[in-house]
Amino acid sequence: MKKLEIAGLIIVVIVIGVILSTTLNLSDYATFADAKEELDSEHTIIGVLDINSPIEYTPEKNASLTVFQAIDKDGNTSKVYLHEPKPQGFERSEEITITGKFQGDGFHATKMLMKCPSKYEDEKLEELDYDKNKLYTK
Amino acid sequence: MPILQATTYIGENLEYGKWGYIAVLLAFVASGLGAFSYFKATNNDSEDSLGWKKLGDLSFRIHSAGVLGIIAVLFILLLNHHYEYYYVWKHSSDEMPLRYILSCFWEGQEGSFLLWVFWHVVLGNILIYTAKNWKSPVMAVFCLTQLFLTSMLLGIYLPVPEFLGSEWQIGSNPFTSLLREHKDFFESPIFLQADYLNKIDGNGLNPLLQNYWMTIHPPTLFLGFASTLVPFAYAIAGLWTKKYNEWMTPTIPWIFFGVMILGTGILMGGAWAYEALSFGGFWAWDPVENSSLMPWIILVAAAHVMMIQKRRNEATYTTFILTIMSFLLVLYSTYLTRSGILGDTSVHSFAGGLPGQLILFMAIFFFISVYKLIHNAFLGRAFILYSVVGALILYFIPDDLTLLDAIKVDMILKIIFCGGMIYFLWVGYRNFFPKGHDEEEAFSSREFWMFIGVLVLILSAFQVIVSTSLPVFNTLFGTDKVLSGDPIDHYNKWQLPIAIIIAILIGFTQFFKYKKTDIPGFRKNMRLSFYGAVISAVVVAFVSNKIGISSETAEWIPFIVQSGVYFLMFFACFFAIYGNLDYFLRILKGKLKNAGGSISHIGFALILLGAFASTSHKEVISQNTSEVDITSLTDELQNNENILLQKGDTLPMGDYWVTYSGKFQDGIYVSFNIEYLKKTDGQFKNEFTLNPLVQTNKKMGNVAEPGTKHFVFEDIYTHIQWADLDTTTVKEGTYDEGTMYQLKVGDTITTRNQMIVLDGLNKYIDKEKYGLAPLDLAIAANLKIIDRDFNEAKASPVFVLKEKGIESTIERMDEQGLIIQFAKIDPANEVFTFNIKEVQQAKDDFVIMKAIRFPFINVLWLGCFVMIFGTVLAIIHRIKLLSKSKSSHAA
Repeated sequence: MKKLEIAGLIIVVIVIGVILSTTLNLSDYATFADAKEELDSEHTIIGVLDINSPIEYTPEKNASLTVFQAIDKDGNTSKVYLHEPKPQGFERSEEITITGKFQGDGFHATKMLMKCPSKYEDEKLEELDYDKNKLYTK
Repeated sequence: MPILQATTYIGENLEYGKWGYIAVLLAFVASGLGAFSYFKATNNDSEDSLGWKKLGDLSFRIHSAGVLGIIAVLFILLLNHHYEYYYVWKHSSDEMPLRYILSCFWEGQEGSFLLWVFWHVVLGNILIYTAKNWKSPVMAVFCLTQLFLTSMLLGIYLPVPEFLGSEWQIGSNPFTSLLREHKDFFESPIFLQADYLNKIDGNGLNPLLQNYWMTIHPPTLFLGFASTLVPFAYAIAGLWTKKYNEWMTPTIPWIFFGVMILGTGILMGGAWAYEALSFGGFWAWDPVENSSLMPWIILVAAAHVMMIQKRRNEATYTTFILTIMSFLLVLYSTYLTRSGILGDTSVHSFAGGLPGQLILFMAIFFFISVYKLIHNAFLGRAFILYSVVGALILYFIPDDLTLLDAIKVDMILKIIFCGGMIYFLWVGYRNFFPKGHDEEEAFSSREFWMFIGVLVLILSAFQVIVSTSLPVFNTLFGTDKVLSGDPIDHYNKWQLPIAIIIAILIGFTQFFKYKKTDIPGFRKNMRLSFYGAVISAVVVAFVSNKIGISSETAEWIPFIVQSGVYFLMFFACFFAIYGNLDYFLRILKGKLKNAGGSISHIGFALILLGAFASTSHKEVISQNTSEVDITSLTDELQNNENILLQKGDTLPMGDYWVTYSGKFQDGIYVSFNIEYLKKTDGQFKNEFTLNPLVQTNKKMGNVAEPGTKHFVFEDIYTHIQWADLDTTTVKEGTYDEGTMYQLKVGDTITTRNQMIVLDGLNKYIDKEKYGLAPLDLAIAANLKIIDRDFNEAKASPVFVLKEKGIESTIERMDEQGLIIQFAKIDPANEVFTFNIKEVQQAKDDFVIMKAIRFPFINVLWLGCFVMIFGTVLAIIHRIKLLSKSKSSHAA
């Protein structure tokens, strides 16, 4: 199986390549402070929507811009410009993951993943979704 | 915790729950007994084993009855809306159509395990009749699997010592958890009422799942998962009984069955994503999608090495490893999607509570596999000792212990532990595993190229596994890493070249014969497909007038490489299609009997072609028409992919004109009429109307569902990004409450549609006209009303001071939609107050919409059918071979 061993060896080399490339492609979940420091690179930030501030979305003016305040894992609040239409059920989101860069007075996100209680069956998340002890009555 | 309830509740039926619970216990105990009996039957001599075998069969039948019983009871509860049961309350509701009861059944964790258990029961019962000599060891593995799976339904609380957490929950049982005892709800005052059941409605099904595809995708996928157990069980049986080659003969039809069903299930998931989800595609490399893809790729690899093994009696060990791995990856996939570990990275992962049990399940099956593969009694014992000690050390070592303040001891030990396992496998293989013949494959042999293909498949699976497992690594090593950049690019970067290599291998490998092939003949055979593919790819490149992978591809890939990859991808797909077509028509002379491989390869190549053509030529045809200046934002942030459509407006979009002509409510759905028009001789003609819709769901949030027009060569996909869902319209001609405005002469105010200027006052008015007494004082305001088009109108409301009080006239201006009343005069400050009422208008009705053109996506769906058809042919062929070899044995 000589030839195959060589082929196998090549594959092993590529496998190491895969691991290396994946490792190089990794970054830590960032905070707004990190993003402010490194303006040029893209950051992924996990945070929550600040429900006390309004979500600004005026589709008549710009259908692809949603502006809101978010709190990162360090507890810092920043203005976020999401360059997407306002997603369905955004107000109810439990956690958001935004990817983008810091520019001017806020974080400009090109992509956002929402963790919505509805899509999960975790009991803990459920408490946020439902008023505890509230059952939907007919 | 349950609290004592003195109340007797009206309408509750706890009887069903008891029956369900008994069925769960029965299924659990019987599978345990079955595992034990079949184990004894395998290890004992032939005379003893008959009794054990019979006991095993009986146990599995009882187990089957138990499982069917659980399913029946759960269905009865769901159909009759027995909300006293938490599971029923959680996943169903009154208004839900009957067809989604099935989806409710498996929406929850318990139900999805039940679905899996059910398919194992079906397959197990087939095997009892067909597995013959293999029955005992194969069924032992089946029963052990069922024991673990049904334990997930037990819902038992086990007291354990304090340091282990004082209480362990084993499984969760849909029949014993009552809504009024649930930890989130037991304090609710509604349970003080005996007839609470008449007052509550169920929580209902996740709106994403209320879709046609979601009623057929999960059962198919779980049948696919279940069908990987059969090859796994045979492989373990082969190791167990030391029949290293024989187990493959009955396994081959099953492994192809698994390839077909699991593949179909994955593709159905893609179809669901395309038809019902709004991310605008059929595959997004989402971790949940990936987790079902990894076992499939490995299963395909296993099926191919198994064919080599059958022909050439080599690569036995590889066949074992891959077959075992495909099942272990199914378990891993279940762990990924069900434990909630994917949380941050996946759009649609479903969290749940049983990670511990799943990890144990996985670990035990992994240990059994490695133990059996090590294949030496002494080394096996050493391995057990190593695993137990290692696991204990890892369990009790504190997480925060560090060496030199930086290196985590925990992390180092985990890596060493895993490395040790691999070392055991290696030693077992090198020293003890019986090897096949050690002959060098020729370059011109089919098996050589099949091996290369298998290696590439493993590489593909490996890349998916590593990238998808990132959250697992984060948990294991306490890190907090995330893929930077676009995850789709991250996967495509590897999988696209892999797909090209696979397609090219698929194209020529069949023209090689096993062992050795005459090269000039091979070259001659390949000529047609090769030149055909080159010509086709050139034609595609010219016709599509587009060289490049996609508009979104990262800049770092140079143009020449992009065009090269683009060309190669089309070439590879066409080459695979033509090669297999040629082989089927010319070499097999069009006979379907042996053509399973060729036809399923054509199907697979068509899937690749369709996926590549539609993704690389996917075109967002909706454009931002807003006049708002967004130049302050950098180019990369501009998102122009959405169109704002005012009701009644007709705007150009792609090759069409579109108009939004209204919305209507149908139950929980709000549908939008988007008309696609073509302009001929200045006249608009309706080509088709799409109805993208929004499913409203008060409890779980609304979900938008795209509307898609399917043509033969392309799809037009339309998706509502934002819309006002209120379908009630304001009645024309009613006026609002009115607003008070205080003005001085010369002041201007703006109302919703006009500007109003107080030009001056007129004291000299015709008193007779207004029917006033000579002594009354009257004053008129001269108001100028200017609308948006600068048309002017005048109004002169009058303020009258009579002897007995104040009176003011109302000036009604229907054309302008205003009612103006001169309300008050403040002579000292010369401020005049007007009450202005405005007509209420039907609200601005508009939608924000995204529209995408997917060309040639039908090639992908056609490929799915062709691949399924080809695999069915292969299964039939293999079953025929199997029965033939059996009858020749008998003779």
